[in-house]
Amino acid sequence: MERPREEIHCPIEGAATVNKPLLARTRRSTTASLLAFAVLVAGCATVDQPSPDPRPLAETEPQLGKAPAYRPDPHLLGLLRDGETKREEIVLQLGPPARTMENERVLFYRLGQSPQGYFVQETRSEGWADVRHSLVLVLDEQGVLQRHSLVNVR
Amino acid sequence: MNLMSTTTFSKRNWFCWSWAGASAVLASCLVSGCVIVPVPVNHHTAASRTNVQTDDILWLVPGQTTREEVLLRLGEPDAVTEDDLSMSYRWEKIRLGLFAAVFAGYGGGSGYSEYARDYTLDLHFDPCGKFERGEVKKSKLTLKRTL
Repeated sequence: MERPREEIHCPIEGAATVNKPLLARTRRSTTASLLAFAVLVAGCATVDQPSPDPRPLAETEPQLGKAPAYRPDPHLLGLLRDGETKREEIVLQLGPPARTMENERVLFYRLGQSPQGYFVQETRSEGWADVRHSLVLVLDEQGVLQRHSLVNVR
Repeated sequence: MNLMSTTTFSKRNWFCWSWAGASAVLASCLVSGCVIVPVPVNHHTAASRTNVQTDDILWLVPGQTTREEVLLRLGEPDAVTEDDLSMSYRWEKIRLGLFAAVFAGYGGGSGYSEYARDYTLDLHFDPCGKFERGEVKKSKLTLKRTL
């Protein structure tokens, strides 16, 4: 003899016979499984290291308008004539050198290059990130240019 | 009779759920892992000069090559002693990449790390400015960046 259908209180058909404590245990088990699964599927984390050169972009660009040599110029090195060009002319045109050696007999300039020409790169950082060429100028005892070389460093 | 069979079914259902959960946890544990693939690379870092190589020591002739020749060929050195008798050229190269991937169940992650080596070409000159001796030094690999 079957029960009348109206005695079933659960609104979901077929679920009326589920044991409540059993259902709670099942839910707990499922929750625990999901938690364990979530822990296990955790992935790798990436670490970003700070850039070695934290200067803002504006500082790394050619310093326009500061001195003639800081503007890109295709004829920047036109003044360099071995046996003729004097130290004063070089310093007036290119500014102070990045480094000197042998009692300022050898001068070094760091140059950048753009489609408009060469420009003197200010030496604020130790690296060569913004430098394209190293200009080496060897002067004689009278301060006249003896030999020079444009070395491509990058 | 009907209730008995329902209870049996519910117990079986609970066992099924339990087994499913335990299996999921076990499967997650079993398929979890980490794969590390070393990638050989050989390129200069962004801030390094690129015009000096370890082979540059080969064209230097002791007692013959002058400091001036070295400077005109290699450019500005990275370090010079006050007496100009010793100078160094430095460069940095990425020599190893490590691709790492972690798998865990349906999830995971991956990353790429680059390891760099510093090189130094130390040159020593006599008081007349002639090349005396030189050596190339290599540092250990150090972590440069992680992507």
